[in-house]
Amino acid sequence: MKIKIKSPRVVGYLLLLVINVTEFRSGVWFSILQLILGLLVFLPEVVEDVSWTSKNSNRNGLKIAYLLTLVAGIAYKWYDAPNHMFLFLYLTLLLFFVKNENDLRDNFRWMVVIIMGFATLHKIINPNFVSGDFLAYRLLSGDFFQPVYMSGLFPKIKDVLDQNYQDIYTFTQGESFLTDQITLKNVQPNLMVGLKFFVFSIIGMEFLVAALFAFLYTKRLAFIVLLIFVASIGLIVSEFEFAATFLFMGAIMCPTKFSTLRSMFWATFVLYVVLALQNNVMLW
Amino acid sequence: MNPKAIFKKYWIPCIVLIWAAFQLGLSRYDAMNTWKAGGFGMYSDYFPGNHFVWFRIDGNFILARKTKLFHTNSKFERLVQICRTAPNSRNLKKLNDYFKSKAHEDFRVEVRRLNFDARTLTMNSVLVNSYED
Repeated sequence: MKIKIKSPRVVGYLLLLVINVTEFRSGVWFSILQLILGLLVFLPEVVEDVSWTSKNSNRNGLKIAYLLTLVAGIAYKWYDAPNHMFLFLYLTLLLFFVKNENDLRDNFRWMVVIIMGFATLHKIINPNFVSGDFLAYRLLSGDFFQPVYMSGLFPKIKDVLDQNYQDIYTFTQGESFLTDQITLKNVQPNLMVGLKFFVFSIIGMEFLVAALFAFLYTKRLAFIVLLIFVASIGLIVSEFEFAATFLFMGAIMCPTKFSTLRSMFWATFVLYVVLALQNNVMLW
Repeated sequence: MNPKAIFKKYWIPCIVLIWAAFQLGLSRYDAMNTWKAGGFGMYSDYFPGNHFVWFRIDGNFILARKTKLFHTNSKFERLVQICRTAPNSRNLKKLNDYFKSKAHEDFRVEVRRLNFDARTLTMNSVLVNSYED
């Protein structure tokens, strides 16, 4: 069997499949089924001289079965289904049904606009976000910027955040949660000083991505902003699967004339795939 | 380009757009957590893990996940998890009915979430929804 990669796009997609199923958020059996069917559908597009199906109808049957397992995996535990699984489903639909390369890019473009546009809308209309209360909670409980704290460069900040995390856990597990309150410790430098700036930078950045892809899609700036926004996600939160999927879409959308930028999308995509796999293995 | 042609070319983003609007509606009017059902509102509000299901039985409060039933009965666990994600009255009633059929006569179900004030750095809990027969 001669192994020759025919389509980097499909290889990228298969890597996304692997990082999605190794989370096992759809349950073990659905995840295994998704992996097997995904490989059966896509491997013949990657490896030369390999075909499991002789007829088109068989191939279409495999595709339908694969799509059904993705939908069932989300529906099975809908209350805990990860959002990147939804994104992965949209991506699969696009790869199945949109054959023209330019149309695919255009569809990705509007997906970015819709996702970032609604993300902005949710934040603007949510008082807990606009007030900064939610972000302050995430900052002081150590949920944000974990790679920075875990680096060991800021031991005092890490100690305070570890203590806050422990205090929150103890508080929420006891009956005192119903009647009492606790006070979290702040860190130095005072993170609360720049809180509003942080709130509006997130809203502004998400809106900027949506607006650039809606109105200035052909400009280099749109892709630079998308790359910076998505590549920096890993520093703030561990949403590696989501970031990898967006970087994959960015790499496909990025015109060949921006070759350096396109390479940076692919390189960052590979980095996030590795981070996601590492994260998933640690969770096992 | 006419609407039919637009839909033919962009039917998948169109479906995503409709779903996103539906999810926004659910989160605004049916207590769906903004992080779930597609998660267009991730990081815009407290997530399901910040929500806690309690039972008040004979004046005592018990955290649902600390009950024996939670660890031995997958249906009960599922109903509790659903109440954390979408604490509307329908889901609380389902949990109430199931718990009543398994364990207790008189109790009240409450879903609370933690609440943080950035100015004072204090954290307390707020009642999101409750149900009692």
